[in-house]
Amino acid sequence: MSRRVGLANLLGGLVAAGVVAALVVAPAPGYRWQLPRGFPVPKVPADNPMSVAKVELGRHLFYDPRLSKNGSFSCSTCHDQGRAFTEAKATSVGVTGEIHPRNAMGLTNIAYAPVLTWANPTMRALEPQALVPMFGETPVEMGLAGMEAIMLDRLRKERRYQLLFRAAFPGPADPVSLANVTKAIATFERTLISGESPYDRARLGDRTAMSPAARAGEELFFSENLECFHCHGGFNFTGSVDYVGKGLPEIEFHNTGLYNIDGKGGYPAPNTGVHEITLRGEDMGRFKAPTLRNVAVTGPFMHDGSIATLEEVVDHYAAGGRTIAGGPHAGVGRTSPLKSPFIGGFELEPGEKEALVAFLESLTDRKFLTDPRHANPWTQPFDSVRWGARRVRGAAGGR
Amino acid sequence: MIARVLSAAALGAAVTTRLGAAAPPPPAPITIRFAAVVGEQPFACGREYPGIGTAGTTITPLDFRLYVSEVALIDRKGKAVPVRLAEDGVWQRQGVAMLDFEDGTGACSNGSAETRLAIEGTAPAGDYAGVRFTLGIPFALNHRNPVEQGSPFNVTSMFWVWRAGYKFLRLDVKATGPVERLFVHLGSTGCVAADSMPASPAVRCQNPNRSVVTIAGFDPARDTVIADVAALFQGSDLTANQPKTAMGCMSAPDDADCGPLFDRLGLAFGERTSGGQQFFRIGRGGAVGASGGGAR
Repeated sequence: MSRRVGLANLLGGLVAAGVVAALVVAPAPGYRWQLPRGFPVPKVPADNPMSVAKVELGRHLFYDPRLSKNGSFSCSTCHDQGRAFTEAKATSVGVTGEIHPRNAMGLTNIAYAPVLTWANPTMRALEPQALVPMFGETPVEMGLAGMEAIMLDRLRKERRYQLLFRAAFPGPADPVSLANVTKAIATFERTLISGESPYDRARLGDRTAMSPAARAGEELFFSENLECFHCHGGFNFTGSVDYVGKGLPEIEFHNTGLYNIDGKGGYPAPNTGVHEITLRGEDMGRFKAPTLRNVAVTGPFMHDGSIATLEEVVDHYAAGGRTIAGGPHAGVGRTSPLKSPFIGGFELEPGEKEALVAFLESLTDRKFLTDPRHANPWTQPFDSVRWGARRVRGAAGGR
Repeated sequence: MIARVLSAAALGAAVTTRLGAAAPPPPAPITIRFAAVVGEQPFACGREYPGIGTAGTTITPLDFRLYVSEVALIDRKGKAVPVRLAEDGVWQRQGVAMLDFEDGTGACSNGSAETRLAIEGTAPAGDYAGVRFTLGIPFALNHRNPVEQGSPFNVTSMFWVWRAGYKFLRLDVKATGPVERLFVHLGSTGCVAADSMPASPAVRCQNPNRSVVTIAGFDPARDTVIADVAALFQGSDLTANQPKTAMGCMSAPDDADCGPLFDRLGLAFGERTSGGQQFFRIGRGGAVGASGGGAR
């Protein structure tokens, strides 16, 4: 336990205020979280309280290709519900065909993340983070830089938005603004909470929910031999976590010895981890440990999608770092001087790798992956009366 | 002779000070005009400019905007007198002004029709012989949520959200040659805090990359500040780009393409100090003033 706290202090000490929304406990009158048993209440920015209307607006925006330069991409293009809001590509491709250096990060339980994306300690709240895919130019993702007026005009023309923006942001001001777009998307993202996997059913008493292999894998996962839980610990299986009543948020970044291209622990540019932002040598190769909930459906793995299967992920950690024999990224990650002390390597008995993978698969929450509340609303009926449309005699009320 | 001049100057200074103390000069409206050029040619979207950089590359503008702040006039005694910037709700706010040299035509299709070629404000009436400003946004204003701010802090093309700030300068061009597009995006890099509280204000940036520009001999009633694209690129080979870095320079310390550009912006790059900024210069008598449409 003391070791755990020490790690948090050591690795969590680096935080930038950067673009920061002060996270405080925002009372959300009338809003009821639907949380899995035992899950804490997520923190919400004081200036963006949760509301049912805002969630619905945010869901529409999340699935709306009008939020891209040429109308071909939405957030969901790279964040696919069926893959726990990741995609099958190793690294994402933007609206202009530009290849992103990193793998699309999952959004499972993103409400509990005190730091966002793979390795940017300045990215602290979902509202400003949404600006990166929308307006970022290195690389171009949705390609909206300079096009915000056009984008907002597109939204104003949509009947559903005429109702939803007003319902989500009541008041005299024009609710169709960039600030409100980011607030609504962030609010929807905070509802993407997953905690009903076989592991959770077993946790709550149903020992038949997990296979014997998965239970054996659980033992291995939480053992001091494998050390997995040091970086993927807690209810959300990540060391970077925050929630109401947490006190201090914990933020951790780790170098896992995935690369060592120069014998000094170097990672190939531009994916140098926290170093890319802070420019500090000791931050080379430090990335956030993502939640392992639903991990089995999020492959390929790692920040650059460079490992295809969970079995190979286990091999990487068992070896205490990856060895790349040839090519521009050649190097022995095991000997990286920057590697986390918890990546010491381990030996597995026959069947144990399969058990570990079975445990990871038991974290898959099928209900989350198919929950219609998180799905594309544009293919679902729309109850316009619920969102403020006047009842008209003979009108069906939907579209 | 020298002594007499000095004592006369000292006497004059004393008189001015005493008079000044009794009745400070009232603030008067002041306009500091800017113009963009490419060498001897006015800057315009849709035009081609040959002979740029060390390889004589032909370039076509895509975008050209920048932020200036901490504007001051230099009086005859060398004293900097701050200019109080007007708050016009569009171009100027909180002592920061955006200048916009592109007009959305030609290849600048991602820009805006409006241009801005001047800073408006007030300063005590006086006899000025120089201007000083910072190319960039002050630290305290550079790291807020941009969509919560008023114009010109809400211009998405100037957002630099991945690096938690703004692009202080954005100069994008198309080029003939192996490197088809070049971007000069100047901003602060290496921004971190030593504190783990999420709302910590104690952020610092390893490389603020704010350039303080002083133009001597500048008479605001007569002269124009010229921003010269050709001068900025003069030490750069626009046919080459360091592999695995941004096309052009996006302020990355490991992108050697930034070296000659930072030198001409008056900024240190790594261990190398600048020989002095050469991007801005004085335009006498407004001779090169007419680039593009109406400023205000």
